[in-house]
Amino acid sequence: MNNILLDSTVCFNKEGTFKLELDKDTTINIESDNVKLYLVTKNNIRVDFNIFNSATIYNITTENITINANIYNNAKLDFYLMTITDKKITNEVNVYHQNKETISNVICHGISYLKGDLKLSVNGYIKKGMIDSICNQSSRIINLDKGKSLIKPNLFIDEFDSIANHSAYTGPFDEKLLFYLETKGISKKEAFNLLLNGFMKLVELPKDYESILDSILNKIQGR
Amino acid sequence: MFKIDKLNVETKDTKRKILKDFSLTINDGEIHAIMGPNGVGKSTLSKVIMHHPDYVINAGTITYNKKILNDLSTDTIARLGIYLLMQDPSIIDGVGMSEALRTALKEREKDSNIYTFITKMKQEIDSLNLPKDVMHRSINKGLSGGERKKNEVLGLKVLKPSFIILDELDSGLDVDSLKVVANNINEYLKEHQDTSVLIITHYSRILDLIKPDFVHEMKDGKIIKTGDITLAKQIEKTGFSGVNEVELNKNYE
Repeated sequence: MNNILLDSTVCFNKEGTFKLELDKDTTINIESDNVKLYLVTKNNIRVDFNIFNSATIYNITTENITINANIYNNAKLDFYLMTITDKKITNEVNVYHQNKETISNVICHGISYLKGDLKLSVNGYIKKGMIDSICNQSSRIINLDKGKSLIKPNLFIDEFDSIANHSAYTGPFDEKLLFYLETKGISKKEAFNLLLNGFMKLVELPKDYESILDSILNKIQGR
Repeated sequence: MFKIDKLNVETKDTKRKILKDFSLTINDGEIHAIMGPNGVGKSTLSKVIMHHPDYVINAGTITYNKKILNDLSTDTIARLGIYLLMQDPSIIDGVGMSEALRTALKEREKDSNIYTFITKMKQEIDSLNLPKDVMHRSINKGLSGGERKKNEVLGLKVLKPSFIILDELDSGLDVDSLKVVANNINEYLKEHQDTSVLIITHYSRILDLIKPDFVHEMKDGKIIKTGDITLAKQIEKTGFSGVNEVELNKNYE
């Protein structure tokens, strides 16, 4: 995995796996196919993506962030947002299908714990004429302790010949799942940790990136 | 020995009485079946034994090997050797079957090395005709109803309980899968002869495959009749109410 120091604009024109830490507003252009980007974002920033080829982007954050993704050509974007917070923050993800036959899958999972208040605004836009475009979004936030959350899923679709889906959930972990694990002899604490890890680690992550997520999750587990 | 003595249970929210002076004794190595129509409290009984948070015990005791279970947590009860094979096993996205079972073994301080564990898992997955990748999948994700039941039996064979509760094992299983599951449970019982079983079912077909020593009929939260396999056959033939009518007529005469 490559670590890259950034100017305010960076371009990926080779396929590969890259890890970035962003602490200022940034524009990222993805021109090559098969780019996997592992992001950690800080300091309430805005990140603009211009996606010209298929890309998978992961982002871990504990703070406010605004993501604007413009998808061009026949590109496909898979975007995973992993947010953990004990503060009042807003994460906004805007996906603009700028050409025909573009695809977006936006999956956002968040944990709002202690006195956290996580607002998630996910907006998908398919303009008139962007036929055969597909815009999917799935958002889930688990509230722990006195944590609160709000999800605003919006699909702004002007093209009939397109597909758009969304699902959203906020609330605690399902008691039924905890009971199931406990009937196997797993303590409540371990069962909770299994659910927490399973919820946040949406896909298999590279070890060094997973360890960043683990260090944040440890705060929850040790609270 | 597993014993329930005059157990009275109600739902936490609605205070509806589910079990009324329910008593049952199961000695080591015995297989008991409880039959009854919908809504008499059969599945509730299995959840109450495992201390499900939706139910409150108002009176009576549940004991297992002289230990009172009433106030123990679900995981403690499970670690005493009681295994509930659920009617509708949950799907848990993100938590792997092998990860959960390994954690369960660690909690029992029975964790074997990874090679032994994987070998055991592979062997049991084969004997249950489960998809090979099931150990790496999220728990029950992408599995049919029947495969989910088999996955529960996989858990049973890895965790090696001494008291097994089979809640509606046959629901969702086709004839062939039911045979595979029953064969696996019978094999387990043959290897672990002190293991007791409580079968909760509507139908006698599962009892043709896992032979019970005692059959109980349950109604209105308590056992109203006890017999052997012939009671199950009689219920299958005449229905639950039919059996009760016969019994009432006998009493009347």
